[in-house]
Amino acid sequence: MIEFTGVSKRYGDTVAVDSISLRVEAGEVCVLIGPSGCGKTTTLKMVNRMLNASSGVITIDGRDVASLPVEQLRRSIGYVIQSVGLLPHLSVRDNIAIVPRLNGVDRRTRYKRADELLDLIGLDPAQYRLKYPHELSGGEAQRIGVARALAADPPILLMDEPFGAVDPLNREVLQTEFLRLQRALKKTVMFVTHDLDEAIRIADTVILIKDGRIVQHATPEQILARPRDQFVRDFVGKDRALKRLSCFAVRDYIRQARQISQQDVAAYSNGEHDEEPVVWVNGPAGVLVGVLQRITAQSGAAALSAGARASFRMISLKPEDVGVAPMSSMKEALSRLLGQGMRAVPVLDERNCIIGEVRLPDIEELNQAVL
Amino acid sequence: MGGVALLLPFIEFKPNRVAEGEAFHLWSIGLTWEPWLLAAIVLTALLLGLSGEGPRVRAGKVAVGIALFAATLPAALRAGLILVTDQTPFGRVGPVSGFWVLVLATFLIVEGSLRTARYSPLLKGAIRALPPTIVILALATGGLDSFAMVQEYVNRADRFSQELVTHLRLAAGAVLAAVTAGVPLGLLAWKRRAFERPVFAAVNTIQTVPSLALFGLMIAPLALLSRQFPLLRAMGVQGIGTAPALIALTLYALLPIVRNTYTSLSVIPDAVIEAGSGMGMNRYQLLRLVEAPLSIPIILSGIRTSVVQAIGNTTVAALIGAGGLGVFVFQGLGQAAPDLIVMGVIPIIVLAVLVDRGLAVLIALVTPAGLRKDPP
Repeated sequence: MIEFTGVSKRYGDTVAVDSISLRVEAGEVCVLIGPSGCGKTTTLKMVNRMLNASSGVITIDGRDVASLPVEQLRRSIGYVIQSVGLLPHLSVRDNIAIVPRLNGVDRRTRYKRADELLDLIGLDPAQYRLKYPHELSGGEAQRIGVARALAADPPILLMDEPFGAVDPLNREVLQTEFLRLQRALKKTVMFVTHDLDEAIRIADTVILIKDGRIVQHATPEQILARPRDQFVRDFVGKDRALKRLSCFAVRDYIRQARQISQQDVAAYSNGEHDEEPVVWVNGPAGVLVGVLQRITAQSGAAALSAGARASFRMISLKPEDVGVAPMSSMKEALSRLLGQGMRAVPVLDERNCIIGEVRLPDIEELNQAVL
Repeated sequence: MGGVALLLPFIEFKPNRVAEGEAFHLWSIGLTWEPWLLAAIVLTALLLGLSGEGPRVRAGKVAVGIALFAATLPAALRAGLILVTDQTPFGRVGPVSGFWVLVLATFLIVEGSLRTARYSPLLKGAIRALPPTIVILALATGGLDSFAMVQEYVNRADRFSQELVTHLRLAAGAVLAAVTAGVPLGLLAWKRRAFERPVFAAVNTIQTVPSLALFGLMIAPLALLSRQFPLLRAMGVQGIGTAPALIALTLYALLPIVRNTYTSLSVIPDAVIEAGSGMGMNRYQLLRLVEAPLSIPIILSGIRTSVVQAIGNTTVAALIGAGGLGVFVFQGLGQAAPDLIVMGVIPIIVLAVLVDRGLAVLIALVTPAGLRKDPP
């Protein structure tokens, strides 16, 4: 647990951080966000005393950080920065094992630990341990940076815009990986970013900072649903309703889906159906292959004639184009909905078999809270 | 090129030291089989040059290059023996264009093939050491005694070793002093922004002064100092001689060292330092694990530049009475004896090359593997 009590940082007459008090619970991901120059990085750096607070107290598990020897304090806190800062003359495994080395851990144990961490972050140790930083891609280097921060198994991680220098596609991959790691490791994380989508994705709580003061400290969902003032409203943007959908996972909104198998399409088409349901069509092994579409009769007269029977035909679909996974966000579900022009999206398991569906009215209802 | 070389005058004969020389062609000296051997080797080299790429062709080229050298030198030796007879006790021979072009051809063939070859550094070094070894063997066996340059040396053997030592001491002393002053200056320029400009302005200006002028500039103030302070005079400080030479050489040696020290520190990314201290390195660990490994190779290469420069510049020091191999060069100039000049210059070049290669190996050894872009 990290606790700030009335912490300020002044440079001469300028106040970078103005009497901040906050609390990050153990195992929580707390994201500091705000416009550039707002003091979020300064706040972060006071935890491992890369900067010293001008006044106020910062404690970790009740112990004042100012009372600990600074090297010892830093070795017990994982630190990840945007520019990674891998030591260019050391191999990947020596880079990862640097904090254990400073702690006097012997070489064999260190290298074993480095291999474990490479496994953990999903890089093959045999392939990566002897590489040098200049042989790594940006995303790989950043992962090694995270592995290095975790090497001494510190309870706390400080991350200063760790994915800021990575391209958007890779950033999302890294965020997903971070979430997976965090679910397994349960570190106490302080994370600085200026990317609201990133904050919403990974945060348990978000602290919005402006001019060195905390404007709002809440869950991502609350910040989007109930911005405290105009500044927060402007910061989260006009599309906050859309962004807020990122906070909700598809698995909580799955409804039963109607489905028939491919052989039954003809029979179904000849039956009586008064409403227009979404009916998914399964192929062999239960894999989604399409959706039924009602064909209205060609001539207007026929269409108007009472008791005209609807007929259906199947439109082929590619599961990977239309489906979402239970872990996907509702924002993704909505984007699939709009992309396909349908009223529901299928929720698929790994084999592309239908688990259920997400319906447009449910998404609309979710947004009522904001609008 | 080898073909042209065979047609150029190969060797020159002088009845005595200052007489006009007479040039001989390879074919007109009276050699028996040597010209034909040389021609055969040159032809082989030509064929190899036309037969494209590949490790075998490359190995062939290296072998032919070495063979060319190994055949050229004995040919010159034999020519010397034939031309210098008992009737001409002061006679001497000197290699001319044909010989030098053949040596150049050797160099080009061997170096050109080695550059792209994937041999181990050790093997490359051994191959490069072969031609000098052949020369040393020839010298040791007395085969080169009829050569003018060697005769000049034999006449001054004692003086030569004396001046060689002086030369080395001057250059080494200057570089040592420059390292002692230059590394701290570079550090200072980097740590304190205020010092950066004046330090670089000073060392850059020194570098632009011609060496002879700098030596000249030393004379007046040092002479004055020595007259004013008897203690200094007792220590050997005078307007001419060792003291001004050392000072001037040191000043020259400063720039590469100061500049590289400064650069070596400024190219360490801030992020690396931040990450290092953020992980809990103390000042000493940061120096040992981060700063030193990253900067030492760059500082060393500055020293390498300095040393090579100093060895060259020390030649000029002879002019203000500091001695060194320059003595022979200027004597030779004064006496219009080109062989004497060459005798002074060749050891200087050999020294510079040796020191340069030695330091290059050292730098390669201290450069961490992660910083090496390609093997040396």
